[in-house]
Amino acid sequence: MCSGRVSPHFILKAFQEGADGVFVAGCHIGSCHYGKGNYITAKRVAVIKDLLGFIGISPKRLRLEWIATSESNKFANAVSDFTREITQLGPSSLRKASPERKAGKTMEPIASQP
Amino acid sequence: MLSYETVLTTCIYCGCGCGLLLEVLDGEVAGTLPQKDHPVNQGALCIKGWNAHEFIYDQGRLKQPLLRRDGLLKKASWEEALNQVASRLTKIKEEYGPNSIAGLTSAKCTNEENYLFQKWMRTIVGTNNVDHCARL
Amino acid sequence: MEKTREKMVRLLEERAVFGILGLRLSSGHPIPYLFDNPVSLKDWVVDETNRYPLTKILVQISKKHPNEVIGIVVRGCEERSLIELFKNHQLDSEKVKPIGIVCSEALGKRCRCDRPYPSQAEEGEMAKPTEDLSDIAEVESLPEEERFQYWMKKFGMCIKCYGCRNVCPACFCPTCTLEDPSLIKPGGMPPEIPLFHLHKAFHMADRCIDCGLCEAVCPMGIPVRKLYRKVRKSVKDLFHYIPGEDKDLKGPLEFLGDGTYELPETGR
Repeated sequence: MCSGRVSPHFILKAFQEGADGVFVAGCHIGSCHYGKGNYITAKRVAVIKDLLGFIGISPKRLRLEWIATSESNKFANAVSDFTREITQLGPSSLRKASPERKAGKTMEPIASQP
Repeated sequence: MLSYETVLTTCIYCGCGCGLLLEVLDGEVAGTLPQKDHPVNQGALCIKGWNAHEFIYDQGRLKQPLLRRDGLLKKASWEEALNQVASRLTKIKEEYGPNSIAGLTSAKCTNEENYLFQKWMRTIVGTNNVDHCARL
Repeated sequence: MEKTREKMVRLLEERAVFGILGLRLSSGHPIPYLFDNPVSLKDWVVDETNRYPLTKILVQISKKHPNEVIGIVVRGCEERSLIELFKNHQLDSEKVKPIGIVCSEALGKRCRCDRPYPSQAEEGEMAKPTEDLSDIAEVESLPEEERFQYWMKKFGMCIKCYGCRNVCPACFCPTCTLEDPSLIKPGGMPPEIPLFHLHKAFHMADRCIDCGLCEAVCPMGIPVRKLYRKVRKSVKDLFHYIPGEDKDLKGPLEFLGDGTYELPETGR
């Protein structure tokens, strides 16, 4: 599946449902398995970051990484780093304020790093 | 023949009375727009107002009276239908008394129609059992 | 507006267009009308207080009559919306004849318009553009938590009338994201916030021509235009793209990518 398939509406819906962070990973620029899909991912994520920042949700909660299929270490490090950052930032204001408090039940809080 | 115009009117739903425009494209109502210079809504509409035109051409609208015969609704003329209503109401009134009949009217009717209805209920049918959908 | 009226009369007499879409004074109110004969043009008016989504009406008419050439009276913003509609194949540029009118200084300032005049007009002076992003800066000056509370309070007033979508010239999808139950839960008042407004803000990110009709039509006075202006500014800063300017340049979010745009940094 291409990272270009990640609709911006899915990302926004994830935050609405109570996600504290969203991590999107795709192939490196120029090596998209489907041709040019990752270009649009980059464009979309950039616009969403600005939009989230404007609303009052930290843009750091959305991360985009280019990771090739063989770079398993890079993937592990990126995810650990992102998890650490989100734990530091704490629960998202949207999760705390959302009228659908049941979102707190569908998304378990991020476990703290050992 | 292509023709397009908008017609000023008032929303038929709640008591606010927002001003709206019905868009008439080629002689048929095609949409609704809020009237920008109306003092009540000042160019805004609620969801009912935005869709105020939808019921006009709805498939479910009655086109002629229907009478239930042998368990099924069948087309009838106005005369047949009104005669049926009059004779059955008269029978009910004779058998069970005027207070066994009640009348419910609607905010979609004009004031004059509602006045006529309650006058008919009180003087012809002979009962005070008359009420209005707004009280439901 | 007499020179413009004369031009419109000429267009109708020469049968260059079937009709011209504009505002007609009817019982003292200026309302949209398709003028199809020169005599009817005596009731044509230009109104600065009451703005209607004429380009959207044009899309509706030309979908039913794709072969007729129809004229339309356009201000600066409406011309920008025409360019966006041409680009997105909602209107055929061969079948639309725009007739430009300028906006007054007062209107340009009120609308905070950065181009209150069309590319061609018969008469009138071009008003000075207003470059005023103070409304966005005001929100961005608030700390994050306060900003969030501000927006949740504003969005919480939403009664889901879909007015902002119905009146927006950039919104033309046959099936709307806002009505898709898999993307936003149906029912409930207010709708899921801020998701409802963010969905729309992203969807027309590179098509918003900043006409301000959305904020004027909101019954609850939600400052939606601020949100869309911010997205418009993001698209301009990131991709150097302004909707409604160039009739050949596609919006950055409308196509995958050819490396022309400088890609923003990934990672943090």
